[in-house]
Amino acid sequence: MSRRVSSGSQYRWRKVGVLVGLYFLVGLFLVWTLFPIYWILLTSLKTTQQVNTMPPLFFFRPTLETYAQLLGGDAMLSFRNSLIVSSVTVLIGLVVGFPAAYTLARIRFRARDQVNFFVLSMRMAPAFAFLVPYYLTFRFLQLLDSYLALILINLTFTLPFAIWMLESVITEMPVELEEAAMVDGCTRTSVMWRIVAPLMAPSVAATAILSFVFCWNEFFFAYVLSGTNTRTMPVMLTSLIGLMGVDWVKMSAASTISIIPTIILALLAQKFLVRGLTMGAVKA
Amino acid sequence: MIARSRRLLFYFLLPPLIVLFAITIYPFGFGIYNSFHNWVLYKPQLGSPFVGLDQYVRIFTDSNFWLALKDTLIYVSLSVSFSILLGFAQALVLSRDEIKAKGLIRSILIIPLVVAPVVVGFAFRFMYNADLGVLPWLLEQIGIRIPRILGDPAWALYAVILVDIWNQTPLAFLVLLAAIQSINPELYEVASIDGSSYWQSLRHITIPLLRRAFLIVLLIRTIDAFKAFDILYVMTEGGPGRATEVLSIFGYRLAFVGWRMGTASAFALILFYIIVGISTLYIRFIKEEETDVSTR
Repeated sequence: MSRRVSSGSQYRWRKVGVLVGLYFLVGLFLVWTLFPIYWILLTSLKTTQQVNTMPPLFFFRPTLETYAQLLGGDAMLSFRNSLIVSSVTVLIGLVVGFPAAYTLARIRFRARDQVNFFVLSMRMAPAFAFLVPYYLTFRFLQLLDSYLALILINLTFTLPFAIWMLESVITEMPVELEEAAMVDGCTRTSVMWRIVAPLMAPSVAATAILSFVFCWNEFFFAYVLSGTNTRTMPVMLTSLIGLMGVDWVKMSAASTISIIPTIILALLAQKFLVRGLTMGAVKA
Repeated sequence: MIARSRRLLFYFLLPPLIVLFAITIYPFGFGIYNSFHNWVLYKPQLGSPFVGLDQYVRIFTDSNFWLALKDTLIYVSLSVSFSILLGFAQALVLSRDEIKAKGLIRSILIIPLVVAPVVVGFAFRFMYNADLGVLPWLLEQIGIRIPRILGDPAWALYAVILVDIWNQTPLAFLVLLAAIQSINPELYEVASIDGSSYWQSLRHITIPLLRRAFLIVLLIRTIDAFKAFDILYVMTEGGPGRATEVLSIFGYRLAFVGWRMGTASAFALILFYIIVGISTLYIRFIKEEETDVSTR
């Protein structure tokens, strides 16, 4: 009798031990994940003097002065450039990508597999495989430092991505509804725009969001192809490295401004994140 | 009518495909053409004469190429394996019933993936900073002194690999978590009735069923790690010396520091084929896995 009680409490203690261990691990994961972000956020609220002290300050009087400075400076111009380039790229990607995705999903011809493989192989191409030819072309056309150049080169990854995402969603949708509509006299075009498109609204939104995030974060293409007029946020950040070193406070504040929109957007679309990041290799 | 609508479908597909091919095939064709010519931008008087395979020979005889290849292989293997291990551990913990607020924790754990790589690079460059950085200071508190982490050729490569692991772990975490959650829970119930412990179930149920997911993460992570550029460039630009010069930085230097467009084009193709070769191998494994499962 007493033995059973003790084994019962032993069991309970073990459960508590497992629970404590699990939450300890969760705590470690959270610290590992959040610390770098917390640290730039904290730095952005310091003064230059407070950054230059050793040991590093964890508690201090925060100031928003750096943000105020940035709002008046060229950071806002870069913010606008990023917004223009990313939104136009995403818009074109969706308008061109949606009919392609619909067709690929609904028609059974052999080209489908080939197009799919082509889309995946575009992901394998190193960035400068595109960058060198585009650079030479835009230089020849005198289109360096133009929105057009940035939008076109961002489409090299946005368009395949949009086609792949949307196709994987349409493939999973039942085809009966569309067939019924066509029997009732709808044309393919109106089926696509009136029936499929509204049903797809959430996944189209997610595709748009994720493409936007990728364009927003894109650095290498913009670094080479943009100039003083079209500098995007990531390129602007690198320009804060001066000969005398880096202005860490300004850098942290500008970084914070540039990552907040993408974090919010990506969390809104997180249901589609797995599918998007693996290019449809995993059906989430 | 159906046949007509089929034809119509084809016309839907044509314009997007023309756009897609125009923006992707054109640069590829131009790149292949360039790779057989010698075109140095700061020597316009030389033009761009045909040189056959010289550019390829130039790359394969360049000792810095082999050095960059070695660094890339270290970078890829460490970054891929550790991000998958850590992501798997996170996925296992987050799939336990005991954990509350899973949705919130999951949302937080995926944040590194969507932070701009440039920002990731700067954040860590600041944290590694010899004079002001929080990491050297923390290490010193526990008695480890590495004054210049990014300036030390012995440490720099591993320091940037750690950053890539931080940035990319969420990908492995997300894919593996989704795969774990799709396993039928009855399998575990039956196993535990038969007296199987957690670790035994992990070994005999979870891991075998996750093979496909592991292969997919391996594929995506390997492709991305081979292409890694932004974080490295922002943190070290390939330095100190050539300590962190991976293949993509090597290529960047050929094109936009040396302005050798022909050599850079040839190199872009070489790197592309390396990545395609490895990916094809993985894809074959994944396909095999799929046919295995369906015939089982």
